[in-house]
Amino acid sequence: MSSLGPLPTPARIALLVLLLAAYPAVFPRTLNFGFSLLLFAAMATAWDLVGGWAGQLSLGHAAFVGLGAYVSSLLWTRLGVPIWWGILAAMAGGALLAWAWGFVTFRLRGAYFALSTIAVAEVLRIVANNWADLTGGPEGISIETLPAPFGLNLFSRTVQFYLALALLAVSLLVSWRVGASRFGAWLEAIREDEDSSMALGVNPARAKVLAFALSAALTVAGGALYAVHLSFFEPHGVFDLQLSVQLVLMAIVGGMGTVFGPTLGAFVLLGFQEAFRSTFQQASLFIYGVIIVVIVRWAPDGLAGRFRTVWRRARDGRRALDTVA
Amino acid sequence: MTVVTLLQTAAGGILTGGVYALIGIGLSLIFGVMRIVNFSHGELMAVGMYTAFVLFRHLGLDPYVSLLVVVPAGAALGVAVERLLLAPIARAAEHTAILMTVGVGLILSNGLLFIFGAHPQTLLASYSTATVRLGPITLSLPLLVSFALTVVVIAALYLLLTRTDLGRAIRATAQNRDAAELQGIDTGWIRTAVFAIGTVLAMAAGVLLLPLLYVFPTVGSAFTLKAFVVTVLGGMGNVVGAIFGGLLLGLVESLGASFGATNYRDAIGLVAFLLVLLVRPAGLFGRSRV
Amino acid sequence: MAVALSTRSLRIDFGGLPAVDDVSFDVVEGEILGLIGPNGAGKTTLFNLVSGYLRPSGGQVHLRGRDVTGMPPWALARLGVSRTFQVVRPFPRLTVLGNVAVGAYLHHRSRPDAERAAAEILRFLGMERIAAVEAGSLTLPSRKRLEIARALAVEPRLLLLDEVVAGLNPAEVEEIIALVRRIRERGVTIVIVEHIMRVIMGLSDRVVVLNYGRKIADGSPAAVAADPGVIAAYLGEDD
Repeated sequence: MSSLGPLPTPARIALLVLLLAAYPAVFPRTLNFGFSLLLFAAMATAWDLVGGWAGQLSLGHAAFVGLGAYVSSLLWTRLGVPIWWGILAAMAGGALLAWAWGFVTFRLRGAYFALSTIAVAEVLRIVANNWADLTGGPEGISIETLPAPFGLNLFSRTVQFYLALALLAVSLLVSWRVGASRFGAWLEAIREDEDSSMALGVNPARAKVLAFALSAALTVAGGALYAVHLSFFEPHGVFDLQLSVQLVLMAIVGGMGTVFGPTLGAFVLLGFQEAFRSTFQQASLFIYGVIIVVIVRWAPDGLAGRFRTVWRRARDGRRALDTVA
Repeated sequence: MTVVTLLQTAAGGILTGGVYALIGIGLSLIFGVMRIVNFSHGELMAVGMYTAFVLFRHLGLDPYVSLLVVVPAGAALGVAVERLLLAPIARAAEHTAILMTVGVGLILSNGLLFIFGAHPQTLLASYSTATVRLGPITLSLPLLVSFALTVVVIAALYLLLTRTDLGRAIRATAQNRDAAELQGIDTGWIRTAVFAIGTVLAMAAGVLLLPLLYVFPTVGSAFTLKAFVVTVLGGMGNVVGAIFGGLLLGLVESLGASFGATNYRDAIGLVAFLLVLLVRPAGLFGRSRV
Repeated sequence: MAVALSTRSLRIDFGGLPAVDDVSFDVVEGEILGLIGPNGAGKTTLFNLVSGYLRPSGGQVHLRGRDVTGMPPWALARLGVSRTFQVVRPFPRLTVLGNVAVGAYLHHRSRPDAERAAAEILRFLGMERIAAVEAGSLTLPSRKRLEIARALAVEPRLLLLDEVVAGLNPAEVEEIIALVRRIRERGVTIVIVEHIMRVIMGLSDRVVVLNYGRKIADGSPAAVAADPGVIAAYLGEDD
C-alpha cells in the first residue's frame, strides 16, 4: 500500500522539495535548524531502507555517519582531494563495509545484526579516538578551507541547506523506487517472515545486504555533508550511540517502511527538540527512551501508520471492498 | 613479562570473567526462554550497582550484605518490566522487542544520570585494596570474594533449574512453548519469572563488581555489549556455554590489555565478538537453515 | 512416464540420530503422491529436505533428472518447486494480494505484471473479494487458502502441500480437496502430507508411508492400506 492521497508519490516528493526550497527565503535566520531537519530526514530515510523495509534494526548507523565525515574530511585536509570525490570515495567505502559486514551477519538472526551494528560503531569510535596519527584522536578534525565548485561557497549556510535538500530528494526517490519495485516487495516479505519468503524465491541474505549497502552509501553522504556543516567534529559527535538512536527514533515515530514516515519523524522530533531546547538537551536520551517505549507499546506503526489506519478505516467505511481488475 | 605476572593477569582475568559469566547467564536465560535479546541488560546491572552504592553511602551497608536487598528489588523490577512492557508485545515481530528493551535501557541509564549525575564514583570499603597471596600470585580480595559469590549464585541457579518444578517448567518452555502450554504450564508467568531471574542476576553482578569498578550512569552500555559477547561465545540460549564464554572473555581482555594498549581494552571484546560471528556464530545449529 | 522428483537414500541426522533414513522414492510427473506415517515419522522433515530448508547428511535429490541436492529454497523455487507450511505463516502486514504478489515477482519483474498474475491466482481460488484485506486479520480457512495461493504464485511444476486441511471443518476440507484436483489439472505435480486418511486415500494416485524416518511402503492407496507393516505402524501409536 503506497499512496495516502490521490497524488502519486513522485509528485508528492517534488511538491515537498519545492516547498522546502522556499525555506531559506522565508526563515533566513534559522538555516542551521533547517539544515538539520533536512540532513536528519535524509539519513533517517536511508536508515529506514534497511530498518523499516527489510526489518533489520541497525542501532549503529552512526558508524556510517562518522565514516563519511572522517573519510571525506581526511582526504581533503591531508591529501587535497576535493570534497565531492571524497564523498564518492567514502560512499564506495561505506557500501563495501556494509556489504562485507552484512554478508557475515545477515546469515544469522536479526538480533545478531543489531548487536553487530552497536559493536562496529563502538569499535570505530574507539579507533578514531585513539589512532591520533590518522584521525586527530579526541581532538577531532578541523576543516579550515573548502574547495569552491562552480564558485559556490561551501561554508555558506544557504549552499549547505540546498545540498541537504538534494540529499533528501535523492533519499526519498530511492525509497520510493525501492517500495514500488520487486526488490521492495521482497524486503517486506523478509521483514514479515524470512523463512517462508525463501520458498517464494527470495534470497534473504543477498537482499538484506543490498538494502544495507544502499542505506550505508546514503548515510555516508550525509555524514560527509555533516562534517562540512560542522567544520569541526570529534569522534564522540559523529560515532555516538545517541546519533544512531535518533535516526531509529525518527523512523519509528514517523512510520517505518513508508516513503515519508522518517522525514515526518525527523521534523517532529527535531521540532520538539528545538521548541523545548533547554529542558530537552539534558534529558534528550531519557525522553527518547520514553518515546520508544510508548510508541512500541501503543503505536507500533508510528504516526504515519496511525494516519494510514485511520484513513483506511474511513475509506472502507464509505465503500465495500471491490474486486481487483 | 614474567611467568608470575602472566599467571597473575590470567588469574585476574578468570576471576573477572566469572562475574561476566553471571551477566551473560542472565541474558542467555532470557533469550533461551523468551527469545528476546535484552538490550537493557547492562543498564539493569548499573541499577544494581547504584542501589548497592546508595545503601553503602547512606546506611553503611556492606555491598555483599546489600545483596539481600538487591535480590528482591531486582525481582520486583524484572516482574514490573516484563508484565507492563514485554508481555503485551510477546507475539509481535522480533525487532519490536529489541526496540522495547533499547528504550527501557535508555530510560534506566538516563534516569540514573538524572539522579546521580555523570561523574564517576567509587565505593571505598575497608577491604577495597586488600589482597590475598596464593603462592607467588597476589590477587585482589574483593575480586576473590566476588568470584566466590558468583560461584554460589550460579550453583543456586543450577539447582533451581534442575531440581525444582519451576526449573523444569522453565526448561520445558525454553524447548517448546506450545508443548509446555499443553502440559499445563502457564508460560506467561514462566516468562515473567525468567525475566525477573535475569534481572536479579544482572543486578547481583553489578553489586559484585561495585568494589572493583568506577560507577557512572553509562557503565551499563559497555556491559550490555560484554554480556552479548559472552552469550554469543557460549551460544545464544546456552546457559552453561555462557559460563565458559564469560571466563574466556575475562581472560582475553586481561591478557590482551596487558600486551596491547589499555585504551583498546573494550575494543578487544568487541572485535572478538565480531570474529566469533564470522567464524562460529551459533554453535549448535549446524546444518539447518531454519 | 517422466519423473518429476526422485530421492535416493536420503538421510538426515539430528544429534547422531537419523530423522530421515535411507529414503528413496520417485514422484511421477502429473501425479498426486500421498505421504503418510505416524506422528514423528519424518514427513515434514522430508519436505524440508526436498524443498531446501535442510541439507541432507547423505543421499541425493533429483528434480526432473537434475541433481538439486543441498540447493537452497529460493533456487528450488526458481526451478519450479513450491511448498506450503504446516503452521501457516502469511505476511501479516501485507494484503492478501501483496502476499501472493511476492511469489509472482519470481517470474514477473514489474509490479503491474506481478499484481496481475497474483490477481489471476486469487480468482482461481475464489479469493478476489478479500484481495485488499490485511493478511494478519484473516480467519484460518482463508489463511490456508492464502498459503496455497502464495505457493502457486511462483508457478511451480511440483507443489508440496503440508497438512493443508488441518483445523478445517468437513465442508472446508471438501473445498480444498476439489481445489487440489483442479491444481493437478493445471499440470502441477503434487506431493501431499495429510493425517486425515480419507483425504489422502481419496486424492492420491500413489502413497508412500514413512515410519521412524524410513520408508515402509510405496504403492497404490488400496495396496498400502492393506499392507500389514503399515497397519502395525499405525496401531503402534496412540490415537
